[in-house]
Amino acid sequence: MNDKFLKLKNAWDIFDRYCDEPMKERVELYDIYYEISTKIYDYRISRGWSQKKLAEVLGITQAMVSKLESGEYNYTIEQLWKISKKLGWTLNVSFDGACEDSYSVGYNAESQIESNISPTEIA
Amino acid sequence: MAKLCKVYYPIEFNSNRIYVHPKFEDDMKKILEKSGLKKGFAENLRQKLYFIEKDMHCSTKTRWLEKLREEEGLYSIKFKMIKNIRIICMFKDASRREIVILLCGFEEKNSKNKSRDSYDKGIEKAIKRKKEIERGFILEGEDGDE
Repeated sequence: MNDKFLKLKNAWDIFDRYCDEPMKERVELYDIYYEISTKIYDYRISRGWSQKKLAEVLGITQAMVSKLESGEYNYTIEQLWKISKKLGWTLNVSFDGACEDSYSVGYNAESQIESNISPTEIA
Repeated sequence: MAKLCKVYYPIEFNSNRIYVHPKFEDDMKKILEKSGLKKGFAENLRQKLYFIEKDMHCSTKTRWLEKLREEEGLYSIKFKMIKNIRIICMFKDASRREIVILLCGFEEKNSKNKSRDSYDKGIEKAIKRKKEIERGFILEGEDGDE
């Protein structure tokens, strides 16, 4: 019965075949870029803003907004901090390893304080 | 006291929303074998699949995903590389979710006439494969027929 139908393969399996091991590792980094750019894009679209409008809010050029949304941009911590501050977001960078090594650096736009806190302290 | 915020870490894909026609991989092999572009293409492809999967139709507002005017329901994904690679895809409802199916890939030639010609052939191939899919398909890894 099923022989009559086309079997569609998952696209991600093809992607895997084109990747070597070093690239598969770098994919983790790309995912962080993509996640950040999606967050910025979603924020703009949910408000019905143009890139120009977001550029005005952030105090940057429209071309820069386009780069930020591209998923190809290597953001600096300073840029992320500035974006968070302007958009009222909370920025947190976390290094998760063995419990004693865990360390988190954060910026909370609401309380306007920067903090160096470990997850164990918060818990 | 500062809040414990969202931890940014690679997210897991909903990896069951993008599929390919059985002959799609052959198209890619023809374009990429011996071209030295495999790695760069894989990076580009993954980026675009990520955004399509996250945002589906909203991706059509981007410059790299173009609705083909000639044919209803077909979209062209553009890759800016040494070769002008194009992938034609379609959106389809399947198993109570919307999926994207990559139908065919081709290289758009540089000269104006050849460019039109390569696009026409690509669209022709995509329409043929779309019709095959509309006759019935099953998704790899899932039970039941569509």
